Amino acid sequence: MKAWMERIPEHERAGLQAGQLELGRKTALIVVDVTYGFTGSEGLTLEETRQEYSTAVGPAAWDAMPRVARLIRLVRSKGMPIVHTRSSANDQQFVGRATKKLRTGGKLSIDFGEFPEAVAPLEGDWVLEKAKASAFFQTPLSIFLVREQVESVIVCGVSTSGCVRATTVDACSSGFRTFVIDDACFDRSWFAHCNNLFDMNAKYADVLSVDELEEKWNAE
Amino acid sequence: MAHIPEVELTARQGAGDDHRLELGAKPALIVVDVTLGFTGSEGVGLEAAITEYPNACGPAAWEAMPAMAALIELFRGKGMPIVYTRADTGGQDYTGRASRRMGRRPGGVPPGFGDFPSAIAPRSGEWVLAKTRASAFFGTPLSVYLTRERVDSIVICGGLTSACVRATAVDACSNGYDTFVVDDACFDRSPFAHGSNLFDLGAKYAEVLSLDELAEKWRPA
Repeated sequence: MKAWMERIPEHERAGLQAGQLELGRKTALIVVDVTYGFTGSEGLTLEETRQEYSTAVGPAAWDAMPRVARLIRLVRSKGMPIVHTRSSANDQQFVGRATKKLRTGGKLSIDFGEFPEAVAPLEGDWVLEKAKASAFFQTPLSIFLVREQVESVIVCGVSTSGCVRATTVDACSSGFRTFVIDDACFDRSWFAHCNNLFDMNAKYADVLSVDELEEKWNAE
Repeated sequence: MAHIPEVELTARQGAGDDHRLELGAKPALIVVDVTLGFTGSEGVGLEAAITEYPNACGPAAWEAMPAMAALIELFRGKGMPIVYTRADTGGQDYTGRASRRMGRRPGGVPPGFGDFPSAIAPRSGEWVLAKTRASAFFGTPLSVYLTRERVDSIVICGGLTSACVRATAVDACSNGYDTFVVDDACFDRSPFAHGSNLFDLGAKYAEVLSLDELAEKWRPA
């Protein structure tokens, strides 16, 4: 059993069986908000990193980073489209933040919206700026997916309980078969991470690890 | 109105299409796509403007420029919100363009395409909203801003009357705002399309009025 599943009460675990969805011919990867504002600098504790940005996740982010990078490489090797989201500092001056909290900190010399090198977008990847939690909310994301004839969407990134979940619900609602990669998602709260994976798996998406996804993809 | 057949103007009056709207307590101004890519450089003819920027309207845009500038000043003077839109040329690599010429621009985006003429340039505190499609509402967070600002009516100017101005005006109306299109502060490459679209907008979605008429209508909040 995966570590996050152990958080789920035993009598609720019946809903955790492996997913049944198919990737299909065209799959897009959405890497949600993996920027320094949500990771903080590498090698700091959560306490330390929150001095940089109040939104930073710290160790859990850097623990997931190699798997986020591996997932990106996997999707790239299949020649499938990749979208990296980040928050639009400009638009948020006018439409407010993605959550009800105020953002503090900003002592980090690195820009909030800068991508760590391991997961940095390459030429041809779309860097999509968004103002709110879901990557679909009042952005042109769905136009891209329609034009690319995407059938399924893979979601990873941060935070599992915030933008990842909101994006996953909207991907499902938009008609795409949706996959969430549990070990390539992270959250400041382990409790929230686990609960949200449970919810998404129950309702909107197949929740798989990078290994499980790769195996499934190669078998299809 | 020179392009509208007389019989149509008469019919329109009979149908009550000339119903006047109230400018509310909190109107917002949307300045649609007034960038060099759609105006062209100042002082050049239409052909030369199109050579430089294929979407340019040339003289028609520059004729409307003083009215657009005055309209913007009117809003600044009243302390009402102003939003400028321009093409998100980076995003359009992924979503396609606003019109049916969907592909990437051959030769890329001409330099200066998204620059604002100095007469109407945005100031600090005014939102420059990037959009990929015709309507300023489509796939953008514009309506979030309007909701949070408690906007109750929308005034639109810019270009092109037959494309992004029209699409934005239809969506402004559809989103529930009393909508005003300022005819002498809008422009189009085609005088015919300019007129026929103002006719449609006035018949269905918005009150079409001149800058002077709008200034007169304005009641202090």
